[in-house]
Amino acid sequence: MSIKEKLKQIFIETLNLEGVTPEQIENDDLLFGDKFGLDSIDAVEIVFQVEKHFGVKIRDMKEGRPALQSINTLAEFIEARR
Amino acid sequence: MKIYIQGIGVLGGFGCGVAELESALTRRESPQGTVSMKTLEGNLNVPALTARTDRLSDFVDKSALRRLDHYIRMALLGSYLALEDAGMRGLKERRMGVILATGYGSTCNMMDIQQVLTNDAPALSPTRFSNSVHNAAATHISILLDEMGPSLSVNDYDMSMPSAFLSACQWLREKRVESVLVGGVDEYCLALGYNWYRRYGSGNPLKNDSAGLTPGHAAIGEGACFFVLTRQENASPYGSVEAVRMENYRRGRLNAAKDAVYFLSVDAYSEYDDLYAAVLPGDTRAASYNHLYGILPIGLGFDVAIAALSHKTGKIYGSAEDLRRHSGRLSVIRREESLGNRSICCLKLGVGGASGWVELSRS
Amino acid sequence: MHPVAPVTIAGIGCICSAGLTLEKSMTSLYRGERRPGSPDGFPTHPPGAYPVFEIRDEFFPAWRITEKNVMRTCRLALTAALEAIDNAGLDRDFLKKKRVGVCIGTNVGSCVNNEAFYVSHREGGDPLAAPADRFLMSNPTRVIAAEFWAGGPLQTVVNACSAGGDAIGLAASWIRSGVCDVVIAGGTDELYQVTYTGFKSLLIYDDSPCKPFDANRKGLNLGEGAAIFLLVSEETRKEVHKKPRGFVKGYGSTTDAYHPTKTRPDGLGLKMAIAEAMEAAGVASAEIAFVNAHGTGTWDNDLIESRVLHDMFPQAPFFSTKGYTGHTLGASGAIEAAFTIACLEEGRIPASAGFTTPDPELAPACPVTENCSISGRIALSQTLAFGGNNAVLVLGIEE
Repeated sequence: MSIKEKLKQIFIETLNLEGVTPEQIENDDLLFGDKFGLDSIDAVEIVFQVEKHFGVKIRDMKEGRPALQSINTLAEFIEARR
Repeated sequence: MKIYIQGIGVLGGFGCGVAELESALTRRESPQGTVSMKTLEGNLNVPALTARTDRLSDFVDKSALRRLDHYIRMALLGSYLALEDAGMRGLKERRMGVILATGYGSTCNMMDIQQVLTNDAPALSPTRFSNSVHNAAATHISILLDEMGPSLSVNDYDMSMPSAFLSACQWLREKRVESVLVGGVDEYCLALGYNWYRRYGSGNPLKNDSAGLTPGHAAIGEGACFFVLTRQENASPYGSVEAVRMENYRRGRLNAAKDAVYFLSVDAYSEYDDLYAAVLPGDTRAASYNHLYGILPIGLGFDVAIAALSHKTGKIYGSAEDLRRHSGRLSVIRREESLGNRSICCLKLGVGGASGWVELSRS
Repeated sequence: MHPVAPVTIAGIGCICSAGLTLEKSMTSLYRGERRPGSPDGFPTHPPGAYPVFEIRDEFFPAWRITEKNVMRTCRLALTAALEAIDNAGLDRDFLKKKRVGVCIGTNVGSCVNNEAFYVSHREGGDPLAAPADRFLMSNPTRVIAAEFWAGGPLQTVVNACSAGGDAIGLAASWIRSGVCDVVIAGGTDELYQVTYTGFKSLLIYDDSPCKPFDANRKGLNLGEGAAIFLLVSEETRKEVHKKPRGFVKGYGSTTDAYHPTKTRPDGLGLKMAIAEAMEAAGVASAEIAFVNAHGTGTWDNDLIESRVLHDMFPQAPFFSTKGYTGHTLGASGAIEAAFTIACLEEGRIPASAGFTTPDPELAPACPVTENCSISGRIALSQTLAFGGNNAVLVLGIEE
């Protein structure tokens, strides 16, 4: 499974996004825009899951905000640090 | 100043809502349920009266429940049912207090967290941690109801409901708020199932200690019971809160109501069940109903709901048969009878000598 | 809330990393001493980062206590309770003749006492301890009630970070309404791995000593401790020979109803709680000598709190003591109330530890940077909890 596919799976499962399929998440969708209705707890949850699944740490939200823009930015962040 | 129960919201092994509680009272049973758990002797089904929260979708959009665990959902559903029963659903009260009592706390969450922490490299999901903070359920109630009044979460094991009712009545008497949503929630978790197994499971060394009690009457319970209390002048069919007291039965006779009917928060499980006959006057008319909602520290809350129903219907429902084993001189209400003008005192004798009761009288 | 009668504080006890008693803690605060360090009980990654304010010394006066087999949270509470009773010039025999209630705020409480069960179960053990037994060892309210033979109402407030302040405010109501003669009220919490790991996972734990209200603040540090107030009725006060420490003059309590972890951006919840407390105390904002702020060092708490303080008390100095004690969670409202009374008695407030660089976003409001004299007799102590509870106490040293 590619990083992006894995991220979409984590996104849906850990944030409990019932009714959302991986196909519905575009790689350049704004993750914290209006589409998915997420908030700050979801953001830190994704940070936690990224460390858990990929071993990559996001130290704070200054670092996290640009990385968490989209699946693309997050995958890039992970690949650069693995 | 009288304090009235305007609405009741209950869910547990008997079902969901006051009507289903009343139906279980009339039938004198709840549908027997089980939970499965791993033990040293393999998988075991433990009798449990568990609660479902499907009806929450009548009140809240699914998306708002996304991160919320079973414990918080039970608290939310109990709250919405109570507000609906009080005719307050959708109404923005001027200022409402929220009080949530729990005996065990958010145990499943805490058990899972402790599992994680006992691993070698502990790390903790922030969502799970947020949900485990002891005031999380009350927080979510306030958020979804958009209620900025005072909020109080209490965790006093078997005295949680008396403690919560005490504060609810205080807030109303002080005119801190115009109404209070007060309730309790307790959740089944592995530690409880395991403890049940050690007492009643096959081959356990404590079995002889159970004094002949059958496991079927000692089902573990979970659920929520919520009430809307007001100072309103309009009398409520559910009755008014005559008294809330917390004392210690090791310090002498309780200052409890004479001539009242007593609903005893026995649970066919703890060592205190036999004490009721010792602390109450002889010939006290008494009943217990834990066979309908199971063993859980907030059990007294369900007794208050049943007492309120008794005031509304004018009848006292037949007690659990188990009570006879502990009742001594007490006069157990074995069959349905008329309540008449009597008040109902819901009493719990708990650990460390603590005792708490809530007395309901006619409006 | 309409104005209410003040409730007498007969004695106070306090223990935290700054000192094992209230007096020792205040001495340390005025000296500007800070003792952050690595937690003893659990590992940190990397070592030395994410400091805590732990009580490193032996503190438990076991020779004076019957209820010895209890968790650390309870031991802290018992220690502070003994100090409060001694401070009031009272003893157990006096309390036994009274109707005594116990109202304690805590975050950790008894629910988490399943850890031993879980470890044992996971390792193939066969833990027998019943829920009731675990509860009795770990619920501070019950432990205090058993130790001091308290037969009145019992309440364990679990309102997260505002629990200690809420407990004192709620206990004052019990006294006013005549439910009991005496209340042993306050808050307690030990350092615990769940909360330590949890706040780190929320990315609100500073990896260096915390900096409340500072432009470079990165979050909170945890601490541990307890504070107990011995509240007495007017009747009981006549039997107490020592002069009261002070009075609980007002209490306000609201909920943000906004978000499970973030503070309400418009500060409305806190404003309403302050207004309620002031109205209950019957005091105007100009009478407030200072505000003992919540000031955790987290980004949004400090931002919003400072704006509210600037709006409502532009003339009053404010400070946070969490730079000296860490965030003691359920104990913080009580410990900070204890500090507030002590500051009023001393006529001075300590510098706000950890603050050096003003943040342009935080209004013109800045906490005090050095010890300052104050001349008023009334002050405010406030706590803003996780989940949005706001608890505000108006405390005074004159009736």
